Amino acid sequence: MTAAVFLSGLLGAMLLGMPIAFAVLISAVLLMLFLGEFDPQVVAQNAIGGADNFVLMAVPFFILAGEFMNAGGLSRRIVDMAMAFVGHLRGGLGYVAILAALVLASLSGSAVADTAALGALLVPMMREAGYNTERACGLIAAGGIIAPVIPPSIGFLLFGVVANVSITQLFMAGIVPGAMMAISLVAAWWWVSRRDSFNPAPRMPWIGRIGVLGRGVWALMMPVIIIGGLKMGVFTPTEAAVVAAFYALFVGVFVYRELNLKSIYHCLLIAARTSAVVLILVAMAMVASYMITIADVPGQIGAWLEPIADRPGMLVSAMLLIAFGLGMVLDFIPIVLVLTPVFMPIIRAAGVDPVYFGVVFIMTVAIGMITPPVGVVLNVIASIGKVSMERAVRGVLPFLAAEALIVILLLLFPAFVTVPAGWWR
Amino acid sequence: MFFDRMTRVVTRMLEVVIVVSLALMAILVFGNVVLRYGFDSGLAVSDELARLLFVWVIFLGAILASREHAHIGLDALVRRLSPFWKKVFICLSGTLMLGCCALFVIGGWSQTVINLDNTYPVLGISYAWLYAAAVVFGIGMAISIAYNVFDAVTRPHTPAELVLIRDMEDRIGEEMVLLADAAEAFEHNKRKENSK
Amino acid sequence: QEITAKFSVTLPEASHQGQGVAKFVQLVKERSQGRIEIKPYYNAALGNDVQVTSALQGGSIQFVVPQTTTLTGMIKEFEVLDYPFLFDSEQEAEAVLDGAVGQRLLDTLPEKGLVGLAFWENGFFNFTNSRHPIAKLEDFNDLKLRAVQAKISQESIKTLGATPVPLAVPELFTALETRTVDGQGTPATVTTALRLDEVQKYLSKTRHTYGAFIPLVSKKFWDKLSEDDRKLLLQAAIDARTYQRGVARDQDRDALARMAAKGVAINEVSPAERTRMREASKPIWDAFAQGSMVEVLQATQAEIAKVRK
Ligand code: NA
Ligand code: NA
Repeated sequence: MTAAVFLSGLLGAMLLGMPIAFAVLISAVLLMLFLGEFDPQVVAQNAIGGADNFVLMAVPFFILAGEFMNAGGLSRRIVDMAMAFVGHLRGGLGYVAILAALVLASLSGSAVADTAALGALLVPMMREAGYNTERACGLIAAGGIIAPVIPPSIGFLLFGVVANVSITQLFMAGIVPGAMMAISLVAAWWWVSRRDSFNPAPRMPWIGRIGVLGRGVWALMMPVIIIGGLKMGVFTPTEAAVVAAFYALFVGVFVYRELNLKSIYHCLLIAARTSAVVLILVAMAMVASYMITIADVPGQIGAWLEPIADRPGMLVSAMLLIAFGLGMVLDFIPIVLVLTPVFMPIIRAAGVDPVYFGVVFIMTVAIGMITPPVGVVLNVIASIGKVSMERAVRGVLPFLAAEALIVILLLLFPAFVTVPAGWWR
Repeated sequence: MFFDRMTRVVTRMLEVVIVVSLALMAILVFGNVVLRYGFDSGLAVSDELARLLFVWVIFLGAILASREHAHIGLDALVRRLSPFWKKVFICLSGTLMLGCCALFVIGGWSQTVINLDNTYPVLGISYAWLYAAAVVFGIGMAISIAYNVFDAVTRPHTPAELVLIRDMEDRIGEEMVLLADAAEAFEHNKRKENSK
Repeated sequence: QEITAKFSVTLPEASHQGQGVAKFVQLVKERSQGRIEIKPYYNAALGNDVQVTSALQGGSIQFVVPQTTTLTGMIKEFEVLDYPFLFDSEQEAEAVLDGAVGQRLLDTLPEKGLVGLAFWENGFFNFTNSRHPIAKLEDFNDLKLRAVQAKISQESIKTLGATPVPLAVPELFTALETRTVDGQGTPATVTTALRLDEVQKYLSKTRHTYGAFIPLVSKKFWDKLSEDDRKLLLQAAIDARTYQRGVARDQDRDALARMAAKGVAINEVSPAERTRMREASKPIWDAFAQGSMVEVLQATQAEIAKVRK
């Protein structure tokens, strides 16, 4: 019953057109009224307590690092590098898009930003070279959602904080599945473009490649710092984020020489505002999470899932189906924040590895960003590629299927996540 | 007119405060890393002060984002309504949101008073500084929401603009402007490099 | 007349803290014939101790059992219990906490909107490190030790001759693993729960601090109870205390034995050396004892002296 109160409050408030942060809060207040425990202090306290978290500070710092890097024309340098190495292949710009998406994913935690950056650069190039525009848009959208699976990832950060799971372990466990997503895109791209004919770019000589790599190596150092620092245990995720931000600032000011005081101020402002929008949602979700605990919503949902409680594979599949369904109509971050506190007690009780669950869960919710009817990343690519939503959906389908197959593969063989995750521990 | 100018000034002030706070946070956390690896020591206040600033950045930034209609929302239903019903929905959700703001002011005030003589272990200042963020958020957000609702209902608008949340297109538009800036800077730099 | 309440617990159900709460909840239920139902929330599901204590003052949560250190930001007198090398044994701690000094500390709480029921046990803190055993005062000289978020922790590490490095718990494991910091001090049960024994070679029984838990009740809730119910809760907390301390001591012994089995070198610190360490720490006592603290410290020392002779 409490689960129904919570969900109807959430959906009702959202349909009224209010920001999701407030819709989440309204559903928490409804739960309070339903349980006869109305108390404004619970709202203020849990919202403040939810925001007062050292780990969450990684969010603005990672966004800031991305802004500093972007203000220095980073994405273009990455595309240049990918061009130099795989641009000459048959259907080469597609592989350029996948490679660039993979590299950009290891620098940024946001699928929307990555898709926008790559789409702005690559869609015009691909259109000019005679590629099918809707297919190009589909590929770039599917590449963009690798960002939350490969570290740094705002999705893993929020999941880790709400589920109380090690963020370093989540980050490390995401690397191989993220690479698998990229490989599945390579296969799907090879399949859909096998009969197309376009003129491949000339192969770049090695000396030219080295030159391009030399200019881009400053960008490539960032994932080395982040992943290396976390792996060696030198930094916590928050510290890795702040070091990445200072590194990007250094590169922007002294190497690329494109950052000045005004643009630094601008980057700081955008990072602060973007993270405020994300984190106010986290703060409100913490109020909801508290009420979810008090009302024992997980217990109720767990009772519904009772028939499959002793079959972890089925349990995880059922939860991913719910996440996938919500992913059709809801944004990435709200799904993570609403479902995590509900699912995690059940997952722990069933003895499923929380890190494994986090990876497949985040992958599924990320895929939600390219499923119709509501998919942020689809919206982004449709508007950047100047194609209709319908054409973007048609274009993304083969790649969506490829990535969904990877999730199914990970469901059937959890070892694909747990074994590589073990190497990092 | 006066009101518009005042909100512009307040908005600009908010911007400066959150930018300075974020910069300070970065320096505190980074400074602690440098001190720890470089000098085997650390700044004890770093963690507490950075977290306090962080909370203020989030809650003040959320007010700012509200003024700019930048909060994430679902406008699927509202978008399809007639202007009249849109106004009804805006008034309704605006009222509910104002109620939420009241909860923040009342609940935040109680917690601020309770924590007046409860101090941070290292920083030594009162936890009231932390909970006051809830009160300021409630008041600031209420003003911003009331202004947004008033704006949406009374001023001449195209029907498409009658939503409290930022339309997806607008967000993308903003992203595109940034990218265009970056691309321009890049080209400019390239030209500079070439001319050398 | 049904009464329901929420009890926030930081540690898991299986910990000595969790076991003590489970016992308390059970005693209250039995003695009230099911009339008073307290629901424990383990693993800090309702928030950390600072947040929850504030929620108790506001009345939205009814019970919490933090370490007394959590209260020092609110009531200075509780800091006495954090003075380095204050107690030599559990018996000394019991004499102080269960006696007049403990009562005096509990009496400071109601004006802050809290009611303290009793003192339970977290146990003695021991230093671990990855360099060498600590057997005498001078062994501290070349060590970098983790300090918790409290001035007294940093100052006392400095006075012993070591270098304090402030670190939050989530950063502790990696900092020890990479040897950014040589060592840290926690009760043995915490050391093993945080898996710090995997990255530490030596545990020295410095027993430099004694951690006491304090079961707290929201005064807003307390004031609504009948006199009989208050007595019932108070007695249940005192009866659960005996049980909880027993569990805490068993778990402490077990944790030490498990660490020894895993290859951590455990050494005793002679009483003479502990006395030297206490003497070295005395400047801290004096620096922190000001105003009403002086009186509390004197009363504490008098109580301890009675046990020691
Ligand atoms: Na990423
Ligand atoms: Na979707």
